[in-house]
Amino acid sequence: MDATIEFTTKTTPPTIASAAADLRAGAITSAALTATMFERIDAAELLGAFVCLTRESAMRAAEAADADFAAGVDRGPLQGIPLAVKDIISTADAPTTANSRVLAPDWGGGIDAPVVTRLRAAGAVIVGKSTTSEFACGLPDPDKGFPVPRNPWNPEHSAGGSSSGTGVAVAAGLVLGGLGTDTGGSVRFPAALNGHTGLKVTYGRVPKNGVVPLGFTLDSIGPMARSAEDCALLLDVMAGADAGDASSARIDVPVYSTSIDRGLEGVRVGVPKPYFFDADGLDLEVRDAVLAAIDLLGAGGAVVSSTTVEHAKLAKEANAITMVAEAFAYHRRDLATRWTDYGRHTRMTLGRGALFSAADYAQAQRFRSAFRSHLAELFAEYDVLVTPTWPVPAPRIDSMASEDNVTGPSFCGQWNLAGLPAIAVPCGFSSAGLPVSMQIVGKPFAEATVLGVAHAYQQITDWHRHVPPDLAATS
Amino acid sequence: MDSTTADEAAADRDAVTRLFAVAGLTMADSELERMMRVYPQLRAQADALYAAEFAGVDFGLAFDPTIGFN
Repeated sequence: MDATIEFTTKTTPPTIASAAADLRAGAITSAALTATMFERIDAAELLGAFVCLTRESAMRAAEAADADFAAGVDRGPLQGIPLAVKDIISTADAPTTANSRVLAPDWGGGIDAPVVTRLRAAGAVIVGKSTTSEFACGLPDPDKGFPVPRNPWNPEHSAGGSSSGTGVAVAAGLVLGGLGTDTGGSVRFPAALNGHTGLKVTYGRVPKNGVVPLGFTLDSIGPMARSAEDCALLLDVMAGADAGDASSARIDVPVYSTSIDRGLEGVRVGVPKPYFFDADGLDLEVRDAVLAAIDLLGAGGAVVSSTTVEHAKLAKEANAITMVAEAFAYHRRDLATRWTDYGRHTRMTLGRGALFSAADYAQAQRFRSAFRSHLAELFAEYDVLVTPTWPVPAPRIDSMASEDNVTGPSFCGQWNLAGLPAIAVPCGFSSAGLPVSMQIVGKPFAEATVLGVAHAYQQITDWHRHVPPDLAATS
Repeated sequence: MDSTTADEAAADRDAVTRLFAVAGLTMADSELERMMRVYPQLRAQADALYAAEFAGVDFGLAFDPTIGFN
């Protein structure tokens, strides 16, 4: 067997599901697949997807996976699959930096976060720590010495954030999947801009101990991969309570990967037109692509109707206030003593926490209660809501400012505020050739439903299978 | 700028300066200027949460008093 696997960006890199089948059929080995991933990572260094690579431990894990296959030991579909872990999640074989000069070098204690432990126990191969916006907020600051993540569809454009590196790596076929975290859209934003699938899970679905916190009551760890099916395979392993995280939910975990073939027939789809489809700043190409995707859901048997999410703009703002207030509580001491050690965009975002009062934070939680009650009523009529994931295709990196998330629309933070699951699904391209994404939102712990609708859409479209132009030649 | 608007702008600038001082944050003048420019929007967003329709709503978060006890 060849030492590496022949695929180029002219062909779609394998999915987790297809690689799992090939591994079991003996068509490929994990060692060859992992070696191929490292070759592609090296060739695509300009994309800034990784802070640190764990070549030795990854190759050892790949060889162990192959040995297990040879011995008839099968730990499930992730066995031998190369994955990326966002660099705010603790791992035993690499430091956790949060892409910051502020975080203590020994943060995490050199042990795997529970979610990483679960992936390794399932036989996954962790190839490295992927780039994040500093402390999962802000924008890249090239002066701080960390890689600047770039969009594989056009490296002058943003890769989104904060789970930028995992998003880039999945889209460019540098890994088959990975972990991101989401406090106001940080799994879905990069998934949307880079053109792959990303799931923000229900608050508490995946334990988040071992993760550098941003917003204690908003944070979640989510799977990022090419397809909804792959996200389901990841979530099968990631989900479930952990004693070390009091906020993790003691609620049964279904087998997501076997419950997504439910089709679209009779699925009640709500389309909240006000704000989500008419906000100032919403790109018309994005709007039209998402509306076309919704038409396909209807043609597939879904029952589609328009609705309204009350106070959608205020919910986005309440999420932002909650996030910066909670983050400021964590960072205040360091911001006061090490202001310029933070990146230029990060400190401007975190510093806003000083501008809100304790009453503002409390009132945001009262609003949160009202908003959740409203959504509970809405979800009595609908199985899912569908919106654009992000209002614009990837902007140029040099056009972005930390104030953008104050002034511009956002369609993601509402669901963090309410704690609901939401998945970003590729649904087309802009005229400039940049990915466009729709978002499917469900009830608490209805990940199987949103994954099922996304999977059904991906059975009748192939947007998620598009791959960026070959960047190896330009590196 | 009329006098009321000018007074409000001055009050906002004063509030930002004082809030950062209380928090112990020191930053470049250019950064302080940017914070002052965005502050009116941040304040308006927070003030909108105090709308009368949310006055009777319960706090949105609960806690489990048994956590940490065996």
